[in-house]
Amino acid sequence: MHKRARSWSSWLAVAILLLILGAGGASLAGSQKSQSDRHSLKNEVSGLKSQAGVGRLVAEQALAGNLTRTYVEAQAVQMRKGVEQTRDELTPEEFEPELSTQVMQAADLARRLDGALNTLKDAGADGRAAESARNNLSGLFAELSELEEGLKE
Amino acid sequence: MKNWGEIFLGILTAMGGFVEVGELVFSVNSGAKFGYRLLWVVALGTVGIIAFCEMAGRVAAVKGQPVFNLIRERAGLNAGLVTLVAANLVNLLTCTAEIGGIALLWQLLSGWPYRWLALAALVFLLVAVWVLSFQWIERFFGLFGLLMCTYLAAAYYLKPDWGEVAAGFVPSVPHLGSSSEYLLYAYFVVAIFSSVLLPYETYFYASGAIEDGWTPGDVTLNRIISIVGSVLGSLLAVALVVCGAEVFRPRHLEPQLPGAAALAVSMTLGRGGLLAAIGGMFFAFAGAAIETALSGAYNLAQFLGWPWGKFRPARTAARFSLTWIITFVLAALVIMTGVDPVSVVEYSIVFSVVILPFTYFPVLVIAGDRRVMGEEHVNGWFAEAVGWFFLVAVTLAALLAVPLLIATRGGQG
Repeated sequence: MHKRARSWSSWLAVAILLLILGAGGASLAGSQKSQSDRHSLKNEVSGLKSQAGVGRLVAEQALAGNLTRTYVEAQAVQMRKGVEQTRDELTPEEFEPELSTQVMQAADLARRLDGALNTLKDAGADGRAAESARNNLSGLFAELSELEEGLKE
Repeated sequence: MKNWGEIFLGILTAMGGFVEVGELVFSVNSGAKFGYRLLWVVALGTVGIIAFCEMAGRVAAVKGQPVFNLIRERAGLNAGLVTLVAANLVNLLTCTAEIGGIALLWQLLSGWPYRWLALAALVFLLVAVWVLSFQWIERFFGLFGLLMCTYLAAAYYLKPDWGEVAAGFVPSVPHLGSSSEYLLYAYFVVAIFSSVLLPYETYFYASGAIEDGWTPGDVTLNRIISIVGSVLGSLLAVALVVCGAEVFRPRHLEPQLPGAAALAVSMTLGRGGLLAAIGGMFFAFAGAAIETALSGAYNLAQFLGWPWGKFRPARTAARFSLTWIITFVLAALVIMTGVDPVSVVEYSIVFSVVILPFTYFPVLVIAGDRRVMGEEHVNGWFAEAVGWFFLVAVTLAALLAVPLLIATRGGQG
């Protein structure tokens, strides 16, 4: 039993190493890929849309009095970090040339989303700020949904 | 028979596996993306983790042997070493993510800067593990982790269609729009399955049984604890899927932050519910961080034959103590570089599936060996059948995990 188990285990060890090396190689190849495609851009836009939608939900819940002031402020800060990261990646050089218009549009929406999330920070303490953030984020959610639809193949 | 308070070993083990930061976001997102269609994977994984935790606990109680002793003995030095390195890498990645998750939660309560809170989380974890005995770690984090039950209440008050929820437990492949969506569905199946069967749960559970001084007389208690803990963890995972399906799916959202998942609770239970949910997540993440750091130390000490265990004074198990301290410190350093904790744990879940066969094969072989376990405690036909079924399942999952990770661009679709 021991011998059989060890032989089985040795094969598995080789398989594990190959899988890890394969994954590492593929990740490296992926990271060196020069330009991202339409699908990648759609994923980025989808992520931004989700952030806008969650932000809107935070604003709605703040208006309903279900959240603490600190929660709203910190949640907005955490979401902005993700949006800023995406925004930095949205440059025309990173994507295929025929996508440059959509990339610019997505980058603009990301900038506006960042601003709207900055307003959301005050929504926990100020009802008017919450109202304004909710409206802004609703609008951005609609625009991002439209752009996402347009990017579907 | 030991005190029934030992049920907290099962609860803490399950909390660390079912509702740690990555699994939490994964479960909510699976509900948001696929509704209830992945619930069968949670149920399937739960049967698997009950089977293997029960076997590992039984071997620990009867023979006093933890999992990595068995791996070294049955798999040999080379294969055992590969498993050790991979398992401890997964432990480190998961611990990293949990410290990041704690910092994110504390930020929601205090508003203080993230990096300082990560540092504070490191100090808290070091002090907690240093000061508390193993039994108090189980009780403290297991008991307060039950605050996660607010998600169960939220799932109930969200009034899901229970018929649809029940249908989700029947294995099926849904009709999806494109091949990339099918790939994404397959990725979620493998990732949820492996996240329920995370290997460190078994390492921690079996080592915990030895820490708690289990004897052959505790075999029945072991069975009850492994079932109760895993079923509770599984119910919490189902509640998270329901929250995702009821709150985020209709709005076409995929929340990426643990704090956003708490919105599902605030919508139904108000501000008190929000604070309880954040508290529950904190104890669950802290429990998972402790589970992974201690598992790393257990694995290394057991593999190399060092004295180990929280039951020993730190000076007599110095290398063991140093290992969990280093794991916490390394994890905190990684998280302070600014990496996203949820992304880290998603990768660790996928890579952990690759080592699952290596972890579970020796446990299955020993628990089924009549000469080692004796007539009374050896696997029955049912345990053997379930064990071999899941060994085949985790091996298939191991072969598919990395290709699916690549094909779906890290689960993005």
